[in-house]
Amino acid sequence: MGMLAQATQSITFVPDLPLSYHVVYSVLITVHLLLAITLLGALTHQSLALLWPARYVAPAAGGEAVAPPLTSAYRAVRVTLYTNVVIALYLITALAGAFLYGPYRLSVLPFFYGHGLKLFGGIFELKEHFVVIGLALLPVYWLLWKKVPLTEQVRFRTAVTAILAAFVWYSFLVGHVLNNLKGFGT
Amino acid sequence: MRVDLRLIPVFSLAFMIGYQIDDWLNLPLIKYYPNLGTFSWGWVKNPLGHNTIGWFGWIGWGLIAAVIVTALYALIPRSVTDRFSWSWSWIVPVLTACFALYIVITGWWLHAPG
Repeated sequence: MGMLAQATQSITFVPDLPLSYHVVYSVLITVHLLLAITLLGALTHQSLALLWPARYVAPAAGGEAVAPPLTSAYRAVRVTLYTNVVIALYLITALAGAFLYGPYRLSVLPFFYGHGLKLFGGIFELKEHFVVIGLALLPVYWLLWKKVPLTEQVRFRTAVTAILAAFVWYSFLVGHVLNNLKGFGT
Repeated sequence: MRVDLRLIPVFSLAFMIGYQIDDWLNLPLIKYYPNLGTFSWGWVKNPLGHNTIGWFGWIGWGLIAAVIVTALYALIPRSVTDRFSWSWSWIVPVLTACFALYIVITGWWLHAPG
């Protein structure tokens, strides 16, 4: 009961935390950010390759092969190779995020409440939900990319990949913006 | 061990639905108290408790729901389950995300204290 009494602080209460705490979590949030950027890149590649397939640029008769424009080259990579990497990155990034969730609730959310910005609490909570829906979607994503022939179920593969990419984009932007609003390690 | 691939989408969809329903009911399997660094089992009444995290507990119930639903689904004959459309693979995540938005709007922006 005593422990629970300690847990029931005011919603605007920000505890005075030692410098080492801020240093450790600042490093972890930077790692989380870098992992998220890598995941974002891989999923964006895959989504665009499916939503807007690159067309093969045939060389002119007797001529040399033409280098495709950057936008085509971006979409023409072998995105099937990314699948396991995306799944691994998603799991590791989500795990890092889970470790950061406690410190967020301890120092960032009360800060927003204290400044009358409860809107941001909801925006962040939506990120939590999107991350879990995306986590649950990973087995279907793996199935569609790894077990179903690539010429089959193309629409569903496209939809699932695009949904996953949308969740990751939302989570990345919200996490990044809210952390910046609070200030790095403050 | 050979995994029956038809069970994979069911596990995924049951996980996300179970998670979201448990979030809506606010009945986490465990709760985490970040300022204490400790967990408690089940729902513990905490009147001012904005500093309690139910997220891990909602995930816990989502996984349990997924295992149960998948086990029940495995009992259905393949001749029946093969008729189910792949459309659910994108419709359910979109609907679940819309439900999450509804929970956030009603819970955080319309009725939240502070």
